[in-house]
Amino acid sequence: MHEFGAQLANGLALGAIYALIALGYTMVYGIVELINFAHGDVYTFGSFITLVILTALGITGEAHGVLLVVAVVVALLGSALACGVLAILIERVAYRPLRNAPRLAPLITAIGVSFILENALQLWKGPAPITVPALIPNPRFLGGTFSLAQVSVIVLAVVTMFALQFLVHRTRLGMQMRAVAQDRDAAALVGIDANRTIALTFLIAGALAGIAGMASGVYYQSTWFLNGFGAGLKSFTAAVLGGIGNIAGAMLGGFCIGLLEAFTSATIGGQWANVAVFTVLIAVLVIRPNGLLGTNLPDKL
Amino acid sequence: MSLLDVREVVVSFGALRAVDHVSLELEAAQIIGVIGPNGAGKSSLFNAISGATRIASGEIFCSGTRIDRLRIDEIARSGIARTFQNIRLFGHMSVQANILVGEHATLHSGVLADMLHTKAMQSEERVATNRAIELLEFVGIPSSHAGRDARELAYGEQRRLEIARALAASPKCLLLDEPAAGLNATEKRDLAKLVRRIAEMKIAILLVEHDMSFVMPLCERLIVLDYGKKIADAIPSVVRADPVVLAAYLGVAP
Amino acid sequence: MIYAYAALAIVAAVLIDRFPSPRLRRIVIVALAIPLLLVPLIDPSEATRNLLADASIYVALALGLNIVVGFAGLLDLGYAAFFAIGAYAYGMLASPQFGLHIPFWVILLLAGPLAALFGMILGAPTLRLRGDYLAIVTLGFGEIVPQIFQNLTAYTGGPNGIPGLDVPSFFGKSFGASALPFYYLALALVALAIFIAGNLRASRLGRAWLAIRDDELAAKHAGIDTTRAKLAAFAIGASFSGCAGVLFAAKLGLVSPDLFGFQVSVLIVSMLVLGGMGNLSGVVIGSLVLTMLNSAILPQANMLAATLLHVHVDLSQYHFAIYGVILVAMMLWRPSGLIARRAR
Ligand SMILES: Nc1ncnc2c1ncn2[C@@H]1O[C@H](COP(=O)(O)OP(=O)(O)OP(=O)(O)O)[C@@H](O)[C@H]1O
Ligand SMILES: [Mg+2]
Repeated sequence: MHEFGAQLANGLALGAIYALIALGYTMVYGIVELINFAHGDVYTFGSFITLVILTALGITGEAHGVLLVVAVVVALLGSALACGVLAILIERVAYRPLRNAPRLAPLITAIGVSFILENALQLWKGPAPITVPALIPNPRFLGGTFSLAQVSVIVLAVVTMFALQFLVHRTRLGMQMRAVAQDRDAAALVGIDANRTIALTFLIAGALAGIAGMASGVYYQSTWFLNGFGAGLKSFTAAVLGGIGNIAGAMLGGFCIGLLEAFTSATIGGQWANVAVFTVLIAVLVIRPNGLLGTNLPDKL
Repeated sequence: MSLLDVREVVVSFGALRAVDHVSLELEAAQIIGVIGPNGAGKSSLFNAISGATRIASGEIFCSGTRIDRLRIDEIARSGIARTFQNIRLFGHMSVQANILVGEHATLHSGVLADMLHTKAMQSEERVATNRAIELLEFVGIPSSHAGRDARELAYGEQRRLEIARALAASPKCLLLDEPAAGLNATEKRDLAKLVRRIAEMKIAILLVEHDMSFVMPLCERLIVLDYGKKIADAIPSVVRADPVVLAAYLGVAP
Repeated sequence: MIYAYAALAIVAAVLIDRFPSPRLRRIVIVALAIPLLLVPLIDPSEATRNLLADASIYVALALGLNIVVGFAGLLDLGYAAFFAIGAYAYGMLASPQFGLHIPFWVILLLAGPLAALFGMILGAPTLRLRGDYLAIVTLGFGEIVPQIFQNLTAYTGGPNGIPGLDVPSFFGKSFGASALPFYYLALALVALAIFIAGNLRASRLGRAWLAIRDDELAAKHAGIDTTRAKLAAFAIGASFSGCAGVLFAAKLGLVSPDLFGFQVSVLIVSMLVLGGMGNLSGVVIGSLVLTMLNSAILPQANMLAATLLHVHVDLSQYHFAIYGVILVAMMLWRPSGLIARRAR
C-alpha cells in the first residue's frame, strides 16, 4: 500500500511535467497542425536555464523563506521567458517559411531543429547528466506520501492548465487563436494578424516548456542534453491520448502517461516503461486518433 | 435495372443533410446534368456515389451490384470514374503517368514483375503507354506534352487531363464535377463536344454544372438539387420553366 | 584516393539522370562501375576498404528508405528498426549465443523476407494515419524495437549485445579480418537496389506510390488499393534494410541495441533530404556525401584546422547539428534535393 502511494505520487508528479509539455504540443498542433518536434528540446533548454539562474542566485541546495520564493519565481519566469523567445525564433526561422509547403516539410525541419538544439545543449554542458540544486525543502504530506516538490509540481501544472483554459476561451488573444486555427484566411479577413497570433502561440507553448523544464530540473535535481527527446515524445503521446488541440485532454493525457510510466517501472521494470508508453501512442493513434476527450481540430480535408 | 441506380440516398454532416433522399437512374450513353445553387449538395452526391463519403441511408447500385458499402478503390474498379470540382491531378507526375495511373486497375502486372520488368510486364506497359497517348489526343492535349509535369499544364488542359485519367480506367459511368468551371467560351464548346463523344462510347455521364447555357443543349435530363433535396427531374426545357426551380435559384417563394 | 572515388561516384550519379537513352545510360553505368570495383584494389589500406564498405551499406539503406519515403511519401522515422532486425537475425543465428552457426549466406537470403514481414507488421497499423501521425508511429516502433532487443537479455545479450559473431566464408574461404568482401557484397546490394527501385519507379506499383504521395484520395479514385500499395512499399523498403543489417553485423562482428537508435533513422532521412527524396541518383549522392562527411571529411578537417589555423576542434562532435542543419536548410531552400529531379 505504501509502495502504491509512493508510485502514485511519482506518477502524478511525472505526469504533471508531461502535462505541461503536452500543453505546448497541443496548442501548436491546434493552430498550425505541426508536430513541433523541437518542443522537447526547448523544455531541456528550460532546465538548463534554470540551472544557470539558480547558480547566478548562489543557490546550491535547499532554500527557505523569502529566498525560496524569490528563487522559484525568478527561475520560473526566467526559464519561461527564455524558452518562449527560443520557440518564437524557431517558428520564425524554420516553420513560418514552410507554412504553405507540403505538410511533411515543416515536420522534417522540426526534426532538424531538434537535432541542432540537442547538439548545442550537448556542447554547452557536456554529454553527461548534470545536477540541479535541490532547491525545494522536503516536508511531506498526506501521511508522508507526497513530498513538497511533488505537490508543487502537480499544483503548478493544474494551475497553469486553468490559466491556459482561461486564456484560450475568455480572452481576445484566445479568440484570435481559435479563429486562426479554424480558418486562417477567414481570420485574416476579419483583421486578425495570423503571423502575430501564431508567434504568440509559440511564445506561450515555449513558456510552458520552460515552466516544465524548471519544474523537472528542480524536482529531479538533474537534467541532460537529451532529456527532451524522450520526454517530448511521451508528452506528445499524452497530447494525442487526451485529444490533440484539447487543453484539458493534454492534462489528462499527461497524468495518464506519468502514472503508466511510474507503475510500469515499479512492477515490470523501468526498461519497459518506454515500450509501454510508445505502445499506448501507437494504440491510441490507430484505434482512437481523436483521443479520450476528442480533438479540437477543424476538419480540414 | 439501370446502369447506375441511386435510391433514396442521404448524406449527413452532423445535423446538416447535404443530400436528402435523392434518387436517380442513369443509362449507358446518357448524359444527365445535376444543377442547383451553391451548397445544394451536388458534390456531396458525387462523393456519395464514388465512395468518398459514407451514406447515412439509401442504396447505390452499379450494373446491378450494390456499391455503397465498398471502399473508394473498389467502387472505382466496379466502373465508376470521376473528376473533381477542384482539380486533383498528380501534379508532380508527368501527364502521361497521370493517365497511366488512371489505367491502374486495367493493368495486371504484379510486384515481382514490376521489380524485374519481365517481358510480359514490358509489353503490357507498351500497350498502356500507347493507350495513354491516344487518350491524351482524344481529350485534345498535344502528345508533345506527355512528358511534362501535370502541374505545368494550362488550366483548361488540366481539366481535360483529369477527364483523360478518368477515362483511362475504362469506366461504365463518369462523374464530372463542374468540368467547365473556369473555361472560356471556346473551351466550353470543345468540352461539350468531348462529353458527347464520350457518351457515344456507351459511357454514362453525370455532370454538375452551373452554366445553364452549357448544360441545356448537352444534357438529356436535368436533376435539380436544393438544400439536398431533389426538386426537379425532367428534360431541360421543362426544368427551365419550372417555377420551383426558378424560386430555388432566385431565393423567392414559388 | 577516397576523394577521387567519391567524385567519380557523384559524377556517375549526376550523369545517370542526364541520359535519356536507356542504352547510353547502361553503358555509362557499366563504365563508371568498373572503377568502383577497382578502387579498393588500387588503394589497399584497410581504412579505405572499411570506409567504402560502410558507405555502400548506407547507400543501400538510403535506397531502401527512399522507396518508402521518396516513392510512397510515407515518412518512416523508424527505419533503423529493420536494420536492427537484420543485424540481430545474424547475431542470434550465427554466433555462440545459441550455438547456432547458420551460414551467412542463408541468413543474408532470409533477412530480406524476414524484414519485409516485419515491415508489413509494423506498417499495417499506420496505413490509415495522416502523414505526420504515421511519422510519429513509425518513430515509436523505431524506439520499441531496439528497446526490446535490449530488454530480452536472455536471447539478445541485453545492453551489451552479442559479441563474437561468426566470420562469413565463401566456398570454404573465410572473409578473415578484411572489409573487402563486405564492400563487394554491399556494392552488389546497392546495384540490386538501384535496379529494383529504378524498375519499380517505371511500373504500375511505382506509379501507384507516386500517386499516393501526390494525392491519396485521387489515387483511391483511380482504383488503387492504397493499403496494398503502402504495405508493398514498407515490405520492399524494409527488406533492403534487413539485408544491410546482416552485412553490417557480420562486418562488425557484434550487435548491440545502441547501434540502431533514432539517430540512425534520422541520418538516413537526412541522406534522402540532401539528395532529393524519390530521386535515385540524388539519394546515392546524398548518402555518399554524408558518409564521407562523417568518416573522412570531418576528421580531415580537424587536422587541417589544427595544422593551418592552430585550432584544435573535434568536428565530429557536431554530427547531430550537421544533420539538423541539412534537414532545415534543404527543406527551406532546396526541398527537392541538391540535384533537381527530372519530370517522369
Ligand atoms: N466535409 C464536410 N463537412 C461538413 N459539411 C460539409 C462537408 N462537405 C460539404 N458540406 C456541406 O454540405 C453542403 C453541400 O455541399 P456540396 O459541396 O455538396 O455543395 P455543392 O452543391 O457541390 O456546392 P457548390 O456549387 O458550391 O460546389 C454544404 O452546406 C456544405 O457546407
Ligand atoms: Mg460542388
